[in-house]
Amino acid sequence: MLEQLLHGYQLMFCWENIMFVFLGLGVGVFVGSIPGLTVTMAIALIVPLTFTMQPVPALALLLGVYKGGMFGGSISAILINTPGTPAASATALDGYPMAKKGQAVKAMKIALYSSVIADTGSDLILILVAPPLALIALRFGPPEIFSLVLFSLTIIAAVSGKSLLKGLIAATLGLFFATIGMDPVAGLSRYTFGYIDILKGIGLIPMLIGLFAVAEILLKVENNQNQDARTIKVKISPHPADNNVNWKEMRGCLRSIARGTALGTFLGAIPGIGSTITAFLNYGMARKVSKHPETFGQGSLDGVAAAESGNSAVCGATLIPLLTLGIPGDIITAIILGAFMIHGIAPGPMMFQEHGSIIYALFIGLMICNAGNLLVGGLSIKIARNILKVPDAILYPIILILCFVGTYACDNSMFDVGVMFAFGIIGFLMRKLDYPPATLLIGFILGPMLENSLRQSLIMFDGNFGIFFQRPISLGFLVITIITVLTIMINAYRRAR
Amino acid sequence: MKTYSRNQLFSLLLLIFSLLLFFFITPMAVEKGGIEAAQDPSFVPNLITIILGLLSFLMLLAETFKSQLIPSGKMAPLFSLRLFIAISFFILYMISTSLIGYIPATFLALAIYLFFFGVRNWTTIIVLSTSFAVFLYWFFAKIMFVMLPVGTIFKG
Repeated sequence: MLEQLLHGYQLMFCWENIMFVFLGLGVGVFVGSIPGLTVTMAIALIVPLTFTMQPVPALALLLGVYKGGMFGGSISAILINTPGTPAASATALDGYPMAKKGQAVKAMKIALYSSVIADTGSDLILILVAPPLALIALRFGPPEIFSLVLFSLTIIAAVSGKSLLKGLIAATLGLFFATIGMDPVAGLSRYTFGYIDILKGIGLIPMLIGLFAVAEILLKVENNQNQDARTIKVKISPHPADNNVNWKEMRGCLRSIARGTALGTFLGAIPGIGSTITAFLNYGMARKVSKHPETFGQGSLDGVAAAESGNSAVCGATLIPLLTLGIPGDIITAIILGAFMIHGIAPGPMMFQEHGSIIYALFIGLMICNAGNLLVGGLSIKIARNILKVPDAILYPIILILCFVGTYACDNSMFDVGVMFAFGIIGFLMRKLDYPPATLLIGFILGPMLENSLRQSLIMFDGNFGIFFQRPISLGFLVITIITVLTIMINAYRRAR
Repeated sequence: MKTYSRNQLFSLLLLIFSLLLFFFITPMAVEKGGIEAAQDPSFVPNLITIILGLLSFLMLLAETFKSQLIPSGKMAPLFSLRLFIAISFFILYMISTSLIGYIPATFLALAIYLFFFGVRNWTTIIVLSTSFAVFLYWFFAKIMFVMLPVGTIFKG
């Protein structure tokens, strides 16, 4: 093992590889921060460029893009309320209000620090206890995933704002929108009305950009006329305290970051769960245990740290099933799996024996990526803060055009652009009527997972609904869900009195 | 004259929408599958529709009990003329991109939006519109290999 570790160290530690790590991080942060451009897209485009490279620099480049992209998404979420990636949606909940208070730089800094800490923690867990964790994750069948997703829906209470009922209605609408398109089990069409474009369903990226970015611009259009308080011009505060995170503030966020690391690592190891859910889940948990839950959604530093650590911890965790069992945890790791195979490496249990030194080089590369992310992220914050110096009259038209092209780029589809704009109007109306767009997004993201796991479970167990109560992990999640829902109801009743 | 609040009207609309969904739209627009819940494509949509209907009804009740009846004259319109113009521009941008292609349509749309948002210096408008349209084309089409629309007019 020590020999392989030393060999791995030699393989990774050369200027060429470190340069590729930084290049990947730079590309990742840039792509992640542009609404519509996804990390998946960037990695898919870069994979062919790595064909002629050695495996270690190729993987260093790809992992750099992956990790950089996870942080990059939070930049646009904080500065212009437009999550660059779906996972950064939870970051926008408190990041943008912080920016409105003049604390955009502070929000970006805490996002970077929590992202790097959670990512490093997740990587360490990958290095130390990947095989047993992967085996636990594999025990998650459709009934367990259904109960987990059902539990995840309780985060709606945390992001509903003033009215839980409005939050629930918005989430239900999100669940409904997720059913449009092809039925995931039988392959039959739903609400397509004969249009082929609708068959693929409503895209997450068009919906995300519409709900957040376009709705924000439409509010801005109104603001120019009515001076609505909902769209305050974002400026950078001249006070150093508003632009830096001090140790006391950092210490206050450590608990949320640690929870995000644990949650993200565990859930990230389960194939198909994804970083968006973990970000929202950790955000919801942080709000629940916070001494000042009322500050969440109003620009809470802890809120940004919780969301960002929740989504970044998934990075290392998705590699757990990939490296130990050869099962990709999400789309990005599926592409990375392809890159492994192109270079003649088959991930799985035998990988540690057959390509041990490459695995250790990869582990070292992950750590270099995390350290590099601090540098590249710090530099990108310095560059990105200049966006706020651009006058609104120039910034908003540019963002609108960027939303158009970014959405079109997802699938080369004008239909998606139409969907984006329709959701822009829906998002605008929701804000006007005080319905939280974030809960609609949560419903939309969790909907397909909920339906798939429910129907798969019923198919597997001959339509027996009791299966969810018979399996221990599933039962455990259901009990937690019931307790959480009861707590929410009791609290709501007390508040009403 | 007293009238309903906006929240009441919206929850009533949602309630009507969920009823329409359950009784007319879903039976018509969802293909028929198996009878069992797991194989029926309308099982989950129907479940969601029922929840939506119940929540809308609860909302309607809650808002009615609040008894905040607002005189109709005090309700500001949801859409202003300015917003309507901005939305129309965007729809025109979508149509023109399909017709004349990405670069000319983006140049025009950006110039119009810059003017709409309050930029009055024509040099700034022309320089920004041109450079941004070309930069985005270079980045998306040449670097990211996205096939941006050429426009039906120039296709043939």
